Amino acid sequence: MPVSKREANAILSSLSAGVVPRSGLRHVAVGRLREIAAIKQDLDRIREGGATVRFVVGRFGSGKSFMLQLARSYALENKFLVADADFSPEHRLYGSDGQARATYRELMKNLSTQTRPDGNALPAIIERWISGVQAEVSTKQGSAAGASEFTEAVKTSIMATVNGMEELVHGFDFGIVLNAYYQGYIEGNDALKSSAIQWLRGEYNTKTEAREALDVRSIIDDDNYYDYLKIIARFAHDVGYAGFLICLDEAVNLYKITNSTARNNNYEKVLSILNDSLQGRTGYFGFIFSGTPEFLEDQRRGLFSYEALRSRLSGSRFVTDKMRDFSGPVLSLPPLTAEEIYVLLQKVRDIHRETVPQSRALEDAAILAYMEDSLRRIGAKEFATPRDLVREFVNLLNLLAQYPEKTWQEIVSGLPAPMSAHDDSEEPTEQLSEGNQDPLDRFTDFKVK
Amino acid sequence: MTDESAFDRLAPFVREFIYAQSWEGLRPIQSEAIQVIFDTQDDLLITAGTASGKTEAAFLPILSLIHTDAVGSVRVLYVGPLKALINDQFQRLEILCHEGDIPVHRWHGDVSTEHKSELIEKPGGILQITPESIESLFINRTEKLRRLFGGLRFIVVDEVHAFLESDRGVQLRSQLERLSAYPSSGRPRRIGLSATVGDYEAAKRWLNPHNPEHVRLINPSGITVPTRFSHLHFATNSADIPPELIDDLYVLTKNRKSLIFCNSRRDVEVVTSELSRRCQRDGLDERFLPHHGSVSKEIREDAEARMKDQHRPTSVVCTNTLELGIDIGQLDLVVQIDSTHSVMSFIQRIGRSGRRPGEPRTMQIYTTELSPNPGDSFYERIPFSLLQALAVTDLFLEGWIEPPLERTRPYNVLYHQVLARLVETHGSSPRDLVGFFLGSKVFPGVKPDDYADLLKHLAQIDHIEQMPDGDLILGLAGERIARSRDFYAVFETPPEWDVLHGTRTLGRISPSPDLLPGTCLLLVGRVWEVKQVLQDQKQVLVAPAKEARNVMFAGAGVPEIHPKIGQRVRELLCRDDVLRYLSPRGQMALAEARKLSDQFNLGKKEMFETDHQWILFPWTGSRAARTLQIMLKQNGMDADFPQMFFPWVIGIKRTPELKDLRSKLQQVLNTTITPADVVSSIPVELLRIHKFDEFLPDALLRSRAIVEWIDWEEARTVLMRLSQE
Repeated sequence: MPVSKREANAILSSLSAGVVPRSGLRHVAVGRLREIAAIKQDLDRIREGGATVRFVVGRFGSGKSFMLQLARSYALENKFLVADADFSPEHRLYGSDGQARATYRELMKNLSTQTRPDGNALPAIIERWISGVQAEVSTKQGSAAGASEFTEAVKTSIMATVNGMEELVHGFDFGIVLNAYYQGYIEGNDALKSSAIQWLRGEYNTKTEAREALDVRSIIDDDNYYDYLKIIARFAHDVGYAGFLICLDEAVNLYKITNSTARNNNYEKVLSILNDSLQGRTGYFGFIFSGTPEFLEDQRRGLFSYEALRSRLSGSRFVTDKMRDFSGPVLSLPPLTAEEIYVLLQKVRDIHRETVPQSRALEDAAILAYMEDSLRRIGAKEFATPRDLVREFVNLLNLLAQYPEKTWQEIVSGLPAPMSAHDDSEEPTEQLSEGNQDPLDRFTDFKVK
Repeated sequence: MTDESAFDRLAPFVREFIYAQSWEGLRPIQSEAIQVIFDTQDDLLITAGTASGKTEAAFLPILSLIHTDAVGSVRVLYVGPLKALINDQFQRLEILCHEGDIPVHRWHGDVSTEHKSELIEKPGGILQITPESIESLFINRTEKLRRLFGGLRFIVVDEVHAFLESDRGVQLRSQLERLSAYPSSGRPRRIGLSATVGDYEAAKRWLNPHNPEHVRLINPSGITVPTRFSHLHFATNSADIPPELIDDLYVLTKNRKSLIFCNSRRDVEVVTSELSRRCQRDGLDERFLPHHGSVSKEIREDAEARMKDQHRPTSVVCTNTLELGIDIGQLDLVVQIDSTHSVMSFIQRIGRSGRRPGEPRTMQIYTTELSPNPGDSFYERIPFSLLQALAVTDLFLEGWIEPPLERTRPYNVLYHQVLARLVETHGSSPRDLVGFFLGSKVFPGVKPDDYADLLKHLAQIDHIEQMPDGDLILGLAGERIARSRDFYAVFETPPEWDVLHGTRTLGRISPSPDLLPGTCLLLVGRVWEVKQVLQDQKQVLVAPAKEARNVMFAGAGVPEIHPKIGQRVRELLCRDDVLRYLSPRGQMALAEARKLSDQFNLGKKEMFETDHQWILFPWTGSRAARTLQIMLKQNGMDADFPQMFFPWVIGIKRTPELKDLRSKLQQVLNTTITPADVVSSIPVELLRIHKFDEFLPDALLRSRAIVEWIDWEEARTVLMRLSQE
C-alpha cells in the first residue's frame, strides 16, 4: 500500500523527534516477526475468552513503544477495544493520592475503537450498543413497535446484559450507571448522560456527588479501578467487541519510585493482574506492559525484587540468544540486527525521497557507510537504539536536502572537507614574537612516550 | 583481550555509561585493567600520562564488581594526595556511581559532621580520603574502624608517584598495613595510579612491600603523546630577568591560559609584576596572578578559581606549588623559566597542559645566562644553566625519569606511626608494637636495635611510658602531641630561618646540613658569607662576601639533581647534533660551549690545574657532589663549588703541602673512612629538617642522613675515576 503524503509527513516528523508515529507504522516496521506473532497469538486468546499479560522489555529506544503501537493498531483492526497510557510519577498502578485513578482516567481518555482510533470512544461505544440492542429488538418484534412496549423490550435486553455483570465485583453499580445513561438517552436528558459518562471515566471525586447525580453508592477510585477495567472487558465482549486490550508504557517509572513501600504496592498490583490472567479469573482481557530491563530484572528495585513476580517471570534457563521463548509473559526485544536497521533506513530514505521536495537520493552504499560510522562507537552494538539511529538519519536527510553542496560525511563529522594547507614558506629569522605573528608558530613538534 | 570482550564483562550500568559518554572505544590500559581486576587477585599499578583514562581504567571494573553489594561497609578507599582531589575525572565517575546506586563519601577537614556521621551510620561505597584524614579516623574513630572497613575490598591510591619519595608516602603505606587488619575477607587489593615513574620495581615495592611480584603493571608502551617545545635562550649582564624575555612571554601568554613556573619565589614576584605592568600599558585587565608558598591561602585559592574560568585568559606564575594535581582546568601551555632540577618535575609541569584529548602538551622554556667577563676562567664560560635545561629536555625526550629515592629509614615517620599505633591499639606490648612494624616491611632499613633506641629515647622524653604489666602507652608529652590537630600530617612547610645582615632581614632560607659559618650563600642577587648560625633563634647572620668561596651547594628545599643529568650535560657538550627546538641564540651559545669543550677536551679530561687551584669535573649529582666535598674537607682539602648552583665543577685550593692531587685522592680512597664518618661532621641540629625530627635521638638522625643526604657509592665511584685519570 503506498504511503499517503499526510502519513509520510507524520512519520518523518515523528521519527525526527524520536517518537513513534501513531499511524502508518507498517511503512517503517522491520523485523520483529516472532514478537508480532506472539502478540497476535495473545489477541486470539483474548478473543476466545482468555486473559493475557505481556511484558515487552527492551532498552530505551529499542522499539518498545513501537511494538506497543503496532499491537494497538493490530488490535484495533481486529475489533478490539484498546486503551493505552504511559506511567509517570502521577500515573501508577497503585496510589493513595489519586495516582492510580489518574491512570484509569488516562486509559478512558485514550479508549479507542477502529472507528474512533484517536480516543474518547466511550460514549460512542455505549451509544452503539444501545442502538444495536434497539435494532435487535425491532427486528424481533417487527417494526410495529409501540413506543412503551418497545422501550420496555429494549430495557429488558439491556438489563439482561447488565445483570450478567452483577456477578462481577462492582458490577451492580456499573449496571446502575449504564441504566442511568439509557434513561437519559430515551428521555433526551443530556445532563444525565454526561453524568454517567463522567462517572464511568472516573471523574467523580466524592460519593455524595455521585449519589446526587446518579443515585449510585460508589465512585471509581484508586482502590477499585481495576475491577471496573475487568467489567469493561466483559462489557466489551458482551456488546460485540473482540476484547479489551490495555497497553501501559514507560513502566520504568514504577521502578523509579523511591519509596519502597509504594513501589512494592505497585508491584503487588502487577502480581494480581498477572495472577488473574494465569488463573483464568478474567476474560476477554489483555495487558501489555513495556519497560526497560532494569524494571524487570533489577533484584533490588525491579519486578524481580518481588519474589512472587520473579518466579513467575524469570525466563527458562534453557533460553539462549538463538533459542528464545515466546510463550512466557516476557517478550524481550533484542537489538535490531544490522540487516534490519539497514532495511529500516532504506524505508525511511524512500519515504523521505517521495515526500520532501529537495530530498537527495542517498544511495545504499552510503547508508551502509553511515551505519558503520554510527556503530563504530564502543557499546554501540549493545546500546545504539533504532530510535537514535533513525532520528539522526532523518535529521541527516533533512540537512542534506537543505545544503545541496555538502556531502553526508561532512555533515556527520561536522568538519569541512580538507582544504589545501595554509602555506607560509617564509623562514622567520628572528624567533622572538613580534607584532601579529603568533609565537606558538615557532614550536617544534615531538612524539614522546 | 579485545576491546569488546573486556567491555562485555563490565556491569550493564557501566556499559551504558560508557556508551552514553560517546567514547570511541576502551583504551588499551582500560581493557588490560579490566582483565587483571576480573581474572586475578593481584594488586595493580597503572602508569600512564595525564588524561590517559587511568582513573576509569581502575574504577570501571571495580564498580562492576562491587555494585551488587555496595553497602554495609566502605568497599573502596580512594586515597589522593590533595585534600580536594575532586578533579574532572572523578566528577564524571560520580555520575556513574549514582547510576549504580553506589554511595560516594568524602572525608576531610571541610566535610560537615552530619556527612561524617552519615558515613559512620551507613558505611558503603567509595570513600575519598587523604592520608591525614585516615590518621584522624584511626585516632578519633578507633572503635568504628571495623564497622567502616570490615568489608573493604579495594584501595585505590591516586598519584602514587607523589607518594614514592615523601614522608606522606611512608605514612600512607604504614596506614594501609594497619588498615588491612580490619576487613574480615582479608587484605584489600591495592590499585596504584601513577604518572610515569622512573623505577617500576620501586613503585611495585611501594604498593605491596610483601609481594611486589604480585603487582601487575600496566604500562602502555609505544603510546606517544604529541608534545611541542620551544626554548629561547638569553645572555644577560645582570642577575635580573631580561626585559626581552618578559616581552616575549607577555605576547605568548596574554591571550592564553598558562602556568608560568619559576624556580624561586622572588622570580615569581618579579615576573608577575613585570607582566602586569605591560597589561596596564596596553589597557588589559589583570590576568597574571602569583602563586607560591608565601602567598596567602585566599589569594592562592582565588588564582585557582580564576584559572578554572575557561572564558578568560588567565595565567598563574608559580613555584612548584602548582606542580601537583590541583585542578585548574584546561591550559594552553606551560612556561618554564630556567631549568627544572629534575626530569620528574619537568614531566609534572608539562603534564599540566594538553589534557584535552588530541591536544599536544606544550612547553616554552626560557633560560638566561650571565655573559662571561673577559678575565673569566674557561669553566666560568660554560653555559651550565642552558646545558642543564637541554639535558633535562633531552632525557625527557628519551623517556628517562629519575628513579625514586626509596625511603628506608624515615625515623620521623616511624615516630609518628608508633604514637598513632599506640592510640589505635590502646597501648601495646613492646613486642607486639615492634613486631607489627617489622612485619609490615614499611620501614625496611630500620633495624631492631633502632627500635630499641627509639623507644628508650621516647620513654626518656615522656612521649611513651611503660605500664607495670609491660605494655607501652603514650606518655603525657606524647599525648599532647598525638591529640593536637597538627598531629595527622607528617609534613610541614620546611622551617624557615631569617637571614640577617646587621639589623636588616635579607630573606628566609631553609636550614640545611651544610649551613655553616664560612660558607657562602646567594640571596637577593648577591653573595653573602655566613658569619654565625643561631639555631635557637632560627637566624643566620651574614656579611657581604669578599669573594665567592665555599659557596654552599643547594640547601634543603632545593631539589636534588640526579647524576644522570650531569652525565648528559657532558654528552651534550661532546655531541654535534642540532636541537631543533632551540632558538638561534641558544644554538650559538651551545656551539660556543662545544668549541670550548673541544678545546679543553672535556669529553675525556676531568682534572685541570690552574695557578691557585685544581678544577675537577665530577659530572655527577648533587648528593654525590656534597659527599665528595665533605670527604675532601675531612682530608684537609679546601673544596667548594665555584659554579654555585651546578654540582659539576669542584675547586680545590692549592697549598704548599698539597702537591700531587691524584695521589692525595688515592689516599682518601684507601682510608677506612665510612659513611658514618662522613655524616659525623655535620652538626646534628642541621639534620633536623623534617617534622618530628626534634623527638628523635641523634644517632638515628645521622643514620638517616647516610641514606638520604649523602650518596656514598656514587661519590666513591667519582673519586676513583678522578684519582685514576
